[in-house]
Amino acid sequence: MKRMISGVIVSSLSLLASAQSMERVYNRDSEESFRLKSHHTDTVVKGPMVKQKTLFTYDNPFTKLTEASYWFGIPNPGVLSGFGYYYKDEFVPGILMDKDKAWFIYTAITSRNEDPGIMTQLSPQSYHAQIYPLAVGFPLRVELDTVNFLDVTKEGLAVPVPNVEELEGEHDNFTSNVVVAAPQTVREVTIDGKKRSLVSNPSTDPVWVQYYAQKHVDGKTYVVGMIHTDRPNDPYRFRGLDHVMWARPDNGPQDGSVKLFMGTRRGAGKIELVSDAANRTEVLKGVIHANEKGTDTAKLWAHAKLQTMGYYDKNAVLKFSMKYQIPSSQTALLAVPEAEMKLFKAKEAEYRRKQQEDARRQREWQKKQRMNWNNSSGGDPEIRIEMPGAVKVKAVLPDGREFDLKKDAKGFWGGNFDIPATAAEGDYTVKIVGIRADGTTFEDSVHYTVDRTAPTGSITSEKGFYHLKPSEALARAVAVFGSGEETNMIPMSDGSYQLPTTKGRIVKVMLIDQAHNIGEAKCSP
Amino acid sequence: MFALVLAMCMGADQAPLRLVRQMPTSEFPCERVSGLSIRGSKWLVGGMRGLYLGSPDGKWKEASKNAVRQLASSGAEDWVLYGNGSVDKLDVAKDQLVFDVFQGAVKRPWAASMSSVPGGLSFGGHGGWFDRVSGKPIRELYPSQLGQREVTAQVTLGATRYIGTQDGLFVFGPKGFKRLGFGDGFRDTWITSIAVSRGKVLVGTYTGGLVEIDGEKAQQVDAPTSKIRSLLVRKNRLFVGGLDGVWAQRPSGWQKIGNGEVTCLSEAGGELVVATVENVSLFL
Repeated sequence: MKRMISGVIVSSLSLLASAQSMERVYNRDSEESFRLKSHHTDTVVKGPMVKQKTLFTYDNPFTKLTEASYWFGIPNPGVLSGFGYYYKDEFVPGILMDKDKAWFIYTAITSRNEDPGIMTQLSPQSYHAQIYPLAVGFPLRVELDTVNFLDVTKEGLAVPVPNVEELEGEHDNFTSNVVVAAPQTVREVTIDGKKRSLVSNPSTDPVWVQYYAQKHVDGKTYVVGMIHTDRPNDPYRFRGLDHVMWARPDNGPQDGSVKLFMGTRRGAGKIELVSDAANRTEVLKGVIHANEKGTDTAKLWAHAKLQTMGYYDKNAVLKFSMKYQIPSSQTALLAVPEAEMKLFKAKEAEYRRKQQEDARRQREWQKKQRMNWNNSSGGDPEIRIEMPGAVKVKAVLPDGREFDLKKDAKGFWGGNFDIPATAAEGDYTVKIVGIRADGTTFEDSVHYTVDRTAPTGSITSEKGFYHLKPSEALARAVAVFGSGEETNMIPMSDGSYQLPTTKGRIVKVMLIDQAHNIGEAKCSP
Repeated sequence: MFALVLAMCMGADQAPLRLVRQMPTSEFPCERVSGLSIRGSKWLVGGMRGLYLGSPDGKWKEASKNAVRQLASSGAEDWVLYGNGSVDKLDVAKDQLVFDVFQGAVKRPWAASMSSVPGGLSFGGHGGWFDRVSGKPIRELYPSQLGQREVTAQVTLGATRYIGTQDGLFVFGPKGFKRLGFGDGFRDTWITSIAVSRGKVLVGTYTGGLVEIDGEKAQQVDAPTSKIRSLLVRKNRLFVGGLDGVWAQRPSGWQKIGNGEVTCLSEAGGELVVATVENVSLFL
């Protein structure tokens, strides 16, 4: 039996509601706090979804170059959709990018005492930003954009407000502007002594579902919604909605009576929310129109999805978060003032080039080989060595010259060096020094031989084979026949070489050693 | 006797060499200089420590940290072959660098050598080569006769392609294919360089001196060193770079014009570039 159910549940209680939870804002050098002067939030409510932009303004009493450290959280399943700050009077928006790239550019710009801001995600709910240096004489102003859900309180559905209790300064100098989409309405109430905006409930029934959909640029429709239920422990499933992610609101009842969902579908159509009770199946029905375009619902879905992607590789996470323009463990938001954009673009190009360099084909090396030539008469061989834990590696040549090795994409340190054509014959050692992040060092070494002496050898013929005994280990021995043809002799385990006499009459054998010195052995009569 | 005749023939239209500039390699950011291109006031230099664009007064901009094996110019473009086998293309005037030009463009997008061919460049690689000739699509060939050998040098003379490897000279001509090795007169089959002088193919070897190809035979000819690393024919004069110096051929014999191991022997900005481990010299 199927029946439609609607109604409103009122049994659950609210937790402390907050849109953005400010944890600490301080001067990184002196650790003195920036005092909050005021904060203002602009809110747009669409169904259960809340889109907010909050400007936090802090006193900046510092007269020296100051780096602000900014810590905050966003309650689950909310997502950070934007970050920016004011450099003097210019608003500088953060640009989402590969975290490595962001740090590369940030470091390059801050080294000039210029002023970008960077924000990284520490966990799906916590963030850190640093801004350096702040313009002297101007307040610190930071803007955060979030997408979240309405808070469920015992008074009704409330617009979240920033939680600034942990900050020093003016907590109550707060202004807010709330816009709701019809047929929703909003009214002001006082909850726990604080002014809050309550949004009308979608139904007077105890059980209801409310949702909002947007068509994303990828062609899919992303639907987010909230369910109120009087059966918190029963499972719910969707028809007409795919890839559904479920969440319990951090700001709301924790007993399961409020369920949040985010899913996708193709185009407009019906959805059904189904739950099986003891003697019946309950179905809540709705229609998705998919006539509104936007990215907000997709961000909420993607943020929830990202939290299930822990086992994905770094590049997959990066690609996913860049597609939906949401922060992740592999991204950062970098804010660069207009005056620094030229440098930003130059650094961005430099990083892109660096990535392309890293993506170059790596030379094919035999396993565990540390140099491409170990025997030489002169030239520029290449070193390739693993130095676990090193942040910098240098090579010290036998004559005392030093050069830095470069780390490749596979984690090996490498570089070329010069073996002078005049170097005396003998064995040489190149010392490899690894430098760890804490400044301590460790050493390894590679060895090479300078050899300019041609090998010699004698050839005999017995029992149907030519036998060659060379004076040293060879790279190969090439037999030349009377016809002018050549063939490689077959190496034996004792270092000698053999060839069946049936191959032909050998005129000479060219002996080629590891350093490519060539000697010649004549066949004994 | 043959070598003497060759030298005298060449001497007829040879002007004396004039050294116009010499800089120690320590003045270059890349150490061992393996290639130099001069485009007006801009120099592009490659070596063991990477590729740099700048001017000889010491203002250099790093273009790549990868070790450069060879640098070649073709029209307005400079081509850079790195030690790892990848190839970049630069337009110095436009300050543009195209990475890994052949990645995705050919089957085996890494090269071991770059050589001039009529109308462009040819890139010798693993078991074959690919030509990039102006106005034509890239043509790549991997003849079965080359097997897994790397192409270290090459030259085209008429309809015949001479391919150098570390295991002999491979000749692909209208009459078919022939490999020349120890049995054909080579003292060493590691081919380091090939040049065409007065219609003859000259082949430099790693330890076996200079060889002239006469039909299907290799004939040893006079050379100032047995350890040849580079050959260049410029204004009808043969230049030989070796492990122990650089020489110019004169009617009276060989004139040493550089000390130490040659690292680059080429032309740039209308001048002869002779780079050794000690210095970089420009001659007119």
